[in-house]
Amino acid sequence: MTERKDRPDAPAAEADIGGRRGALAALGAAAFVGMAATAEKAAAQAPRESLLRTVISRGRLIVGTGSTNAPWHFEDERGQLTGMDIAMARILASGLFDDPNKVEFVRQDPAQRIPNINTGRVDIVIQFMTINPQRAQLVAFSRPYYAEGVALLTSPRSRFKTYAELRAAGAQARASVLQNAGADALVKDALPDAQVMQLDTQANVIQAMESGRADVAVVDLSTVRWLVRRTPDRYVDAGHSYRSQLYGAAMRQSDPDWLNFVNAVFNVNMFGHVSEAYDAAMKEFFNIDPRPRTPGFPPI
Amino acid sequence: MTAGRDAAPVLSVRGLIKRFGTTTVLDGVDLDVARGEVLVVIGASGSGKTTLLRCVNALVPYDAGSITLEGTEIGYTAPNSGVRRGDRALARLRADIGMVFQMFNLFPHLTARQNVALGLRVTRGMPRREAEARAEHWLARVGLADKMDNLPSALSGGQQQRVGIARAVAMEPKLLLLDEITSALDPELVGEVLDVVRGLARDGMTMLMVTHEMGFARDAGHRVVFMDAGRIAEEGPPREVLGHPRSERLRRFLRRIELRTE
Amino acid sequence: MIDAMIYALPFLWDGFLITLAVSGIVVAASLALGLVFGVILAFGPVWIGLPIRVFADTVRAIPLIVLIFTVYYGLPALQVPLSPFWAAVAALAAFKTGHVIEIVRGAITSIHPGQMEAAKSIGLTFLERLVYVVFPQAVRCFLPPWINSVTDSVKGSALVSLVGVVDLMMAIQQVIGRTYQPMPLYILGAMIYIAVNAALSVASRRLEARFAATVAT
Repeated sequence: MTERKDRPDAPAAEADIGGRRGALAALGAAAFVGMAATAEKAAAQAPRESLLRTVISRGRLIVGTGSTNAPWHFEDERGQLTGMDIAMARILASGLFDDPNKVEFVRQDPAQRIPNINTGRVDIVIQFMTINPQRAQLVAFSRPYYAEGVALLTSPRSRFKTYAELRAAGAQARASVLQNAGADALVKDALPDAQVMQLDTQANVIQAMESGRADVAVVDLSTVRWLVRRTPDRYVDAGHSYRSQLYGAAMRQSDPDWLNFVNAVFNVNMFGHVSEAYDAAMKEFFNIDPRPRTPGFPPI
Repeated sequence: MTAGRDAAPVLSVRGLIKRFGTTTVLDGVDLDVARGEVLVVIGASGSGKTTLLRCVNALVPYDAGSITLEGTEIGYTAPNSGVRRGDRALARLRADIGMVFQMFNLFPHLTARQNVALGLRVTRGMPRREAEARAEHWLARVGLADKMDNLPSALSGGQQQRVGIARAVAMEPKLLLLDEITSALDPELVGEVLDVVRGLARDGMTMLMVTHEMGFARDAGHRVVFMDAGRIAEEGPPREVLGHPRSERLRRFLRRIELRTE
Repeated sequence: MIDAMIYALPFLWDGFLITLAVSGIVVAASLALGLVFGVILAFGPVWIGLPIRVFADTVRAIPLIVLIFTVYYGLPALQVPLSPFWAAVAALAAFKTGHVIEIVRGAITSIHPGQMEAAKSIGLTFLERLVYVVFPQAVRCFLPPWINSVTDSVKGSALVSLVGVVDLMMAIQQVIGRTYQPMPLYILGAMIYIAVNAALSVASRRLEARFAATVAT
């Protein structure tokens, strides 16, 4: 998933400006910060026992994930959590307990992905998390379980439906994209001359294209595929994808047993003999057929 | 005018000292009020007379001295003990001391009847009907039989003050404190209020009254006390104190007052 | 548009209940605590009032989001395990309590001190003075800002979605995450919040009218 800024609409803080009361508030805030820092230090001192043992003796896996982004983590018509991230979590649960249902999902905002790992609120985070060096300094990433690309989404009613048309339109083309630091560059990589419109959620980005305020929505390739498959009368894949981002699961650092276990399960499911669940998920959510797994020289 | 005197005074003040910061407002006051006596306190503003009243009713603490009501120390556990009484004890003692205020201080959300009945219901624990009956009796006595259901905002200043008097007197206090009760009234309303107080005095109510109404002091007061700079400078029967002032300060004070009232 | 809204309604029900629960608990807790501490602040000695002041000013100066996250992450580290729901509710309640303390204090101190003196003079104890004299008058001053604060609580309850509590806001996001049709849902969400606050408005006007009748200025 492309990086995103912090959530925008924070309610205005009713700060009290003025003399003594401000000083008192500052004092209180300082005490607060001190308390928070102590708490953080306490949490950072990882207990000796590996999470692997803890999880096994607990009898269920606690996974941090989201609930608002198809096809990764979302609620289906029956209100059940489903998606690729959910599928990976169930694969892990099967590896731990032979039961894909022994997993508890903690819904979290993307801003909480790293904090919830490091404060021990969840055992692992599987939430379309792009592996990057900055994050890798704070958490331990599993091997990648998906390579995400960026693609262009248009609709049958768009002025320019295909990549060629969009390219040709030059500065006439208006592109909507999720707001974040690299958003402009992301669009320019595909459409160097297009106007860029940054919006706060993926859904709004797509809405802008549908309502005609933008000609093309620059979104994740998986989202494009998902939407075009489900509602081909509403959406069109403009036919150009680029970039490749690796998604991995995040765990706390200094716990080699846990990390190795997760990697082993992922490897076995992706390249080994226990591959049904993974293949089914790839097909259901991305319409990607499984690769042939040939014996002999190992693929990884 | 003589008043029936018991052996022991109802109110006894000894050596009362009250300071506000660096200012000494009451500088050693000694005072007795006998049963049925009407004691009038006069003096210039800043002489400490209102503070005296507020000390008696334990509305403010004081620094030294003793104030007793029928032998019981009011604000503190013992004379000069420095230990203030708790809220409950103070409440019980205050129930026996009625106070009428310069600004009336009626409860604006209650009718005249409810204002008078509140203390009877809550402090005296009377059932509502009995309390309201008593309230009606006292309101009739102060001449407000037709205004019982009025809110204070629907009453004139003089009527409000009469309700204030009824509220204080309905509790059947041992001592009634009156703090310049006519100073905030329009001149034509003063008379009706003073008439009520005169009636109470005739019926033997023990009163400590701070006022500027020299006429009232002359014909209804039993004793007059002149306060100056936190002390009692002169005291005696009204005819003497008001007619033959001994000190220059009192003379000057009376001249200023007479000039205003005549 | 309308079909999308009707389709979404069943999925929003549980979230709506959570929103009501969060708002209700926050309003009730902040009212109770704010009353107690506001009275203490108004009548108590300075050395008790000061920590209350510091608390009220501090929580009001911290953005709600920061407060929620701090409670959510901070308390477990201090050996106080709280579910996300209760952590968020605690943070919101603390924030609102700070407000209510101020409103209560302001309402009480707006009453003329002569009222307390008159109440004392007829022998009422502290609690009796509060109940029979101060509160009936203070409530007129108290109600308008407090009702505002209640509306804020309802709006602020949406922040619990930040720590994964599925309230109405998050339920809406979840449906959008599946259907990719934000407009009908945002409109529906707005309508629901408007309906809730309209109901509050009506209730508040009745409350104010009831107390206005008994006090004349």
